[in-house]
Amino acid sequence: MKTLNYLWIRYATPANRRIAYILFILAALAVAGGAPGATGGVGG
Amino acid sequence: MILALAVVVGLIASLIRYRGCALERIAAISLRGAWLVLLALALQWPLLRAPAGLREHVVVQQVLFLASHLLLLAFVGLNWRSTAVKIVGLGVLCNLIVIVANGGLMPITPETLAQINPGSSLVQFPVGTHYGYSKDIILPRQGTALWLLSDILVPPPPFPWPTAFSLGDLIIALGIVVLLQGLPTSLGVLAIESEHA
Repeated sequence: MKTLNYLWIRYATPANRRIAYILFILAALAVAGGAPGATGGVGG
Repeated sequence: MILALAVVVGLIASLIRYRGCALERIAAISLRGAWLVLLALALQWPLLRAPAGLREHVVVQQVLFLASHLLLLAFVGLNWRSTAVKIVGLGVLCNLIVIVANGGLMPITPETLAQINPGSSLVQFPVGTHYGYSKDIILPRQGTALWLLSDILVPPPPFPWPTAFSLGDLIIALGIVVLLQGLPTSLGVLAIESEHA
């Protein structure tokens, strides 16, 4: 728990959280905007 | 989900190009109405979780899917001053046009599906059915409106995940890579300030 707390304080800076947020939104944009066909949807 | 790779590619390109400044530039990117993207994804979720089957079985999911594009276009409109978002918007529009022209789902041919599902045969992909866990409907090439905008691009080996892309998908990926090159810090700060103003 102490280590986790340390890691959070060390790396979860406001700037890093903002970068993570932007990357998350862009990943969501890619998934929502795109429509690729991939494997795994084979019907019966 | 495979298109999320564009984020990884864009991040790597930014790190190579701008090294120490890359993360600072990304942090300065201003995105208005990001909740619209998350809501759009939530509306698409039921379609992405629907197994393969008749088109009639996914009518509600299809309506939600189409509605989600309005949210995506609204997001593009809110961020119109960004060239990269304009590129993403063009990709979304390309996909939306072919989706609407083919009744509400992205068309893909049985031949393309056989190509990305090694060991499968064409009979496993009945024409006119929803291709499970995707936004696609299986249609023959001659029965596809605006075939060029449908899922026809299959990346060659050694690409590790067999996938078929549309031109719109590629444009969206390009837009995201461009977007992740970020803004010069001073411009980015101005953008953030104007966002909060």
